[in-house]
Amino acid sequence: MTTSLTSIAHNVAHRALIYLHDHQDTDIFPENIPVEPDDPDTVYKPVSEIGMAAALVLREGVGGTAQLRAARELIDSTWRKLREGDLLYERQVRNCLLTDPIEVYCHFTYGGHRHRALEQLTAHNAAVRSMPEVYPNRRLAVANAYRMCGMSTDDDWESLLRATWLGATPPPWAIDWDTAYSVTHTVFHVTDWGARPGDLPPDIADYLATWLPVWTDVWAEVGDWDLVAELLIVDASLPEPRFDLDVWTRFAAMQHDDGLMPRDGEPVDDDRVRRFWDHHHATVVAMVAGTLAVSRLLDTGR
Amino acid sequence: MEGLLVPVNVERLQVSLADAAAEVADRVLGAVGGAEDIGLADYVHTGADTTTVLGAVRLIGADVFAPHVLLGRPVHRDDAAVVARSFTVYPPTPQPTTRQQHVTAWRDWAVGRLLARTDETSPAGSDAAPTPETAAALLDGAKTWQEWSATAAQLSPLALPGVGGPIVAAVFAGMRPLARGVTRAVLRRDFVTAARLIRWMALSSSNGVRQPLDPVLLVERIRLYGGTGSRLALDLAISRVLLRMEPA
Amino acid sequence: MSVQHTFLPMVAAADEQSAVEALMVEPEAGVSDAPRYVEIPQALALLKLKLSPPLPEDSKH
Repeated sequence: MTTSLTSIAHNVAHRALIYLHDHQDTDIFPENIPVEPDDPDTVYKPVSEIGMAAALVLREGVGGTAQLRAARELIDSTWRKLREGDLLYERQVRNCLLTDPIEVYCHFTYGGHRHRALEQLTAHNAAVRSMPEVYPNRRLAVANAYRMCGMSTDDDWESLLRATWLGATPPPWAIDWDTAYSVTHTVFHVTDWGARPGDLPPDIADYLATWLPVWTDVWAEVGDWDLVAELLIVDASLPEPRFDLDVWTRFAAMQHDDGLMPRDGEPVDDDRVRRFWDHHHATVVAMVAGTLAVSRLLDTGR
Repeated sequence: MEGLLVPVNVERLQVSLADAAAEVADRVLGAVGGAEDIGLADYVHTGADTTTVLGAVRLIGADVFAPHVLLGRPVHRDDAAVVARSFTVYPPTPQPTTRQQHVTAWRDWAVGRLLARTDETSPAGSDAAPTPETAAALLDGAKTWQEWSATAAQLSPLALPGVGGPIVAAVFAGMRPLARGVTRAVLRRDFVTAARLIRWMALSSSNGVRQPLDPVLLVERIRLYGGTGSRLALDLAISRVLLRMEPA
Repeated sequence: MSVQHTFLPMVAAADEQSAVEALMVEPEAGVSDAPRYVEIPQALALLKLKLSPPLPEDSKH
């Protein structure tokens, strides 16, 4: 079982990586990403997420030579799209309370990409301690970003975690779609994307071990593959992942031949550019889920 | 003459049975919530199709004894006679083999067990205890928590005080799959299944079994968020009594 | 009056028997029209599919 699950997760991650790698051209992305886009979700966020996923492949280092080379090329090309960090720097200069520049930047440091001026700005901002009001799970994202960059903060992780929905361990049947994403992100940041499973307090780890299978089952039934992929990352980030072969098999079966992971059960457009913009997020998440699952499977020797 | 017969519409039959079962459930619900008798025999006499009504009594099963086992109300002997008669008209499968037949056999067993507390003689077959192995196979043998909870929901008429036996023991040993099944049912808005599973939570809770979820909140959730139907209302009412909640 | 005498049928017909048996083990036994999902008339519908969540600036990363 272990071998087949490792191989399933590896294939999902590898194919998603190839897909994203093959969709970095100017047919997809504009030449210049504006510093203050009308809608940052349209290009800035996807570029950042792809860079993050590539960084996680490099961090885990569990792929073959070709895979690691593709991840290296992918993080380099996304870094170039961010103008070697200048875009992040300019965003931060113009908006001193923004937290997304440091959240995006921290992943690129895994790829060896640094931007000294941005680091000085963010270190200064950390010292000023003027934190904008954000959702509790988003506050954890900022704390983790500083931690990843090696910048010391006086964040109290336990109280940050307890301020989230997950930290309060409410009845698992009283969840909704948005809150499910909040749960996944709380886990991503507390565990630093699966690198610190032991940082989940035992009661939270037990809560997740008990209810994650239910949430995964329900959202897999309605074909919400984007959220299922996020829940699979959560599973791989637990002290004792479940690694449900049945769920992974169903999830992997949804992946298209070119590596695209559909976000849901709706028909996928034929147009190359449209396909990318509709489904890049689910594909990014699938790449991370597969990578972390393979890494944990090898680590735990399961 | 065969060619002149109207083809039997099984779906229509099932709807008639479901409607009659709702009526029986309403009567039991009235008895659980108030002081009146169930009046099963009266219902049989109202002119409704007798065979259908008796089928409905088979469907409601052990729940017709809910006012008796929950509140100590006497079972009217005419009502007990109706229950006994329902087994004559719809005899139990003599040699259960499939999973579904085993589920039905245990439901029948629970009826026979509670009927035996009345003066009525249990009809042949209804009180023949299925072997404990079949209880283990149904629940302990479930491959997944989804399968486990679906089976527990089918066996929900056994979630009454005084039934006992290996099914109840097996469910009490499965609080985690039970809680997962309830959570899944609520999220899917399958309130019928949720209410059935909540009965097991209520019964186990009243027996001091620790469990991961609060059944009181769940009973209220289903009531307030659109759980409808006579049988669902009966399931909730039974849970309320078990949990010592105020009547809704 | 004996209850016994008011019953006409001795044994249910085969199709009636199988209808009861089927309903006995149906997850929604006896509720012929129970919806698996109840539509709720607002965007809060739990299982409603939506696109990926908004950017960090608005709510989450």
